[in-house]
Amino acid sequence: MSSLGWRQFVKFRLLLTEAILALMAVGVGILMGGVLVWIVGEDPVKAILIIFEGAFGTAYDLGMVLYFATILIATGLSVAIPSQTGNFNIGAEGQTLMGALAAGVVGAYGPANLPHGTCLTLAILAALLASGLWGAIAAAIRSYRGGHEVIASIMLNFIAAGVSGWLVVTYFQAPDSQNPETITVPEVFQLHRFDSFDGAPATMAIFIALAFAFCFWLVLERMRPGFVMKAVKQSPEAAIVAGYSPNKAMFWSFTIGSAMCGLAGAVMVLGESWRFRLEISDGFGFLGIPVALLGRSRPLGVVLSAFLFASLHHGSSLLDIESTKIGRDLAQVIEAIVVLSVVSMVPLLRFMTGKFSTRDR
Amino acid sequence: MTELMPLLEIILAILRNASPLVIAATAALFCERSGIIQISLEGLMLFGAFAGAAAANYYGIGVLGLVAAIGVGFVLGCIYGVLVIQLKVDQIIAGTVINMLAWGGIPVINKALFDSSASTPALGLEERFSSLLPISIAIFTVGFTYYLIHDTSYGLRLTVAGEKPEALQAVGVNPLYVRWSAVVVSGVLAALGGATLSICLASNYTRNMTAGRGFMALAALILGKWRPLPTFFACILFGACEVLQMKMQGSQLPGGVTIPSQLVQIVPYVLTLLLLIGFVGASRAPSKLGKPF
Repeated sequence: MSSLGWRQFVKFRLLLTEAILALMAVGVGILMGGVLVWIVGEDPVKAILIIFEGAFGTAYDLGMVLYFATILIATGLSVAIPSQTGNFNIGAEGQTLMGALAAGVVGAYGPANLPHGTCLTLAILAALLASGLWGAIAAAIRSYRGGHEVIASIMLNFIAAGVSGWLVVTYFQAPDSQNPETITVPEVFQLHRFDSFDGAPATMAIFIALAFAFCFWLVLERMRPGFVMKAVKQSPEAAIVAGYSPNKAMFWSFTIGSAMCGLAGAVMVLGESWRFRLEISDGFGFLGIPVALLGRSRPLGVVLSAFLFASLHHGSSLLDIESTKIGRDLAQVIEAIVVLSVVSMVPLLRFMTGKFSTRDR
Repeated sequence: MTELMPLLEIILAILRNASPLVIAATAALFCERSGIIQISLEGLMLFGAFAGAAAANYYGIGVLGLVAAIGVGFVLGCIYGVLVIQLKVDQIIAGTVINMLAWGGIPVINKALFDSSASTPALGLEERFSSLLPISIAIFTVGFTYYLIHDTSYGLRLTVAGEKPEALQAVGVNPLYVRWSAVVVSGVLAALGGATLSICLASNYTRNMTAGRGFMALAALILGKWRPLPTFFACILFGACEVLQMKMQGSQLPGGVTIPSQLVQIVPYVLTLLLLIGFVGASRAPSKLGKPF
C-alpha cells in the first residue's frame, strides 16, 4: 500500500472514531432525557414516539424541520468556522438579529421594482454583511486588542438586542402594529415556499445553506486558507514562521463565520415571518453551539447535526399538546446533555480506563 | 427631611437592584481569580432562584428556600468542578451547558412540581424576606471578600492559582484544591444571589427571571478588573442604569428630550465592550484564566 493510501486509512479511522463518539453522545442525550421523562412520571417511549411524530408526522412537519435545519446549518457554521482558528463564537444570537434586521429593512424599503432573484440576492447579501460586520467587532477585539472574544460576543448579543429594538421603534416601526416590528416585505422579497409541504416555510434557502457548507469543506480541505487556519490553531508560531499572520486568520475566520448568521436571519425574515420582529432569533443562535460541537465543527457533521437538532426542536413542540407532564423544554435538556457528552466522553473514558486514547478535541 | 425622602428611596432602589448583581459578580470573582472562567452565572442564578422559591413554597418556610438555593449551588459548583478541573473540559462549553440545563431543565421540573412551566406559586408574606436582606448579604459578601483577597493567605493563594499555579505547587499547596474551593464557593454564592431575586425581591420564580443578570454580573467583574471594590461599584452603576431605565419608561426630560430606554439598558454592555477595546483603561485578566492545570 502506498503512503497516501495509509494516510487515508488513518484519516478514515479518525473520522469513524469521531462519528461513533458523536452517535454515542446522541444516545446518552436521549437516554438521560428518557430518565428525566420517567422521573416526572411520563412514559419515555411514548415521549420519543411523540417527538418522532411531531417531526416527521405530516408533510407540514417535514417542511418545518427543513426550515429549522436551514437556520441551524447557518448558525452551526457560524460557530464551526471560527473554531477552526481556535475561537469560540458565542455571539450568533446577536449576529442573527442584526442580519434579520438588515434583511427586514432592505425588504421593506428596498427597490421593489427589480426582478425577484435580484431582490432576494440584495436582501440576503445585506443580511450577510450586517451579521459579518457585527461579528467583526468581536473579531477585531480578539485579534488586534487581545480581548476575549467570548466576553465581547456576549456583550454584543445584548447590545444587538438593544440597538435593533431602538432602531426599529425609532425608524422602522410598522404603523399598524403595537409591537416593535417592521412593515411586511413585498412579495418580490419573499422566499417562495416549496409546494409539497402544506405551506411550511421550507424554501430554496436550504440549498444556499448547503452550498455554504460545501464551500466551507472546499476551503478547509482543498484550499490554502483552510491550511492556514489549521496551522494557526495547531501552532501559531509555526504559522508565523511560514509567513502567515495568525491575527489575520483569526479575524477573517471569525468575521466570515459570523456572516453565516446573516443567512439564518434572512431566512427567518424573508422565508417565515416576512417582517423583522424583536424576538425573532429566539435562541437559534445559541443552538448553533450544540450543532457545531456535535458536528465536530466539520462541514458534513454540521449539516447532519443541524438536521438532527431541527427534528428534535420541532418534534418536541408536539409534547406540549400530547403530554400533560412534559413540554417542549425537554429538547433543550437533551441538547445540553448531548453537548456535555460530546466534550466529556473522551476525557471521562480516559479517566476511567487510564489508557483509552484518541486525538484531543 | 421630607425633601430627602425621594433621594433615599432612589438610593434604596439602586441598592436593591444591584444586590443580586453584587452577589453574583463576587461569586464569579472567586472563580475567575483562581483561573477558571465563570460564564454559567446566569444558569446558577436561575437554578438558585427556582430552588429557593420552590423550597420556600413547598415547606412554607423562607429560610429553607435560602438553604435549598445554597445546596443546589453547592451541587452545581461540584459538577462544574468535576468537568473543568478533573476532566479539563473546555470551560466555556461547560459553562454554556449549565446555562442550557437551566433554560431547559427548570421549566421541566417546574411543570412536574407545580403543574406550570412558567412560574412557581406566589409565596406568602411570612415566607419572604424584605429587600434589606439581599442588600446586607451583598455588602457583607463584598466586605468579607475584600478582606479575604487582600489580607489572608487564602486570598493570596487564590490569586496565585490564577497567575502562576506552579508557584503554589512549589510551596506545597495543591493549586487544584484552591481552584476547587473557588468553584464551589462561586456556585453557592451565585445560586444565593439568584434566590434573593425570587424570595426577597419578588414573590415567586418566573420563567427566565434573571433576564441576563448573570451576564451583567460578569460584565461588572470585567469592568471592575477582577477586584472586589471596583466590581461592587460597577454593579451599583449597572443597578442605577436599571432604575433609571424603569423611571424613564415613557417620560420626557425637561426640554422635550427623550432618552430611549433601550439604549440605557445596554449601557453596562457598551461600557464593558469599550473596556475590552481599550478605551477605559487596560483590564488584565488573571494570566492563567481558562487554562487547566
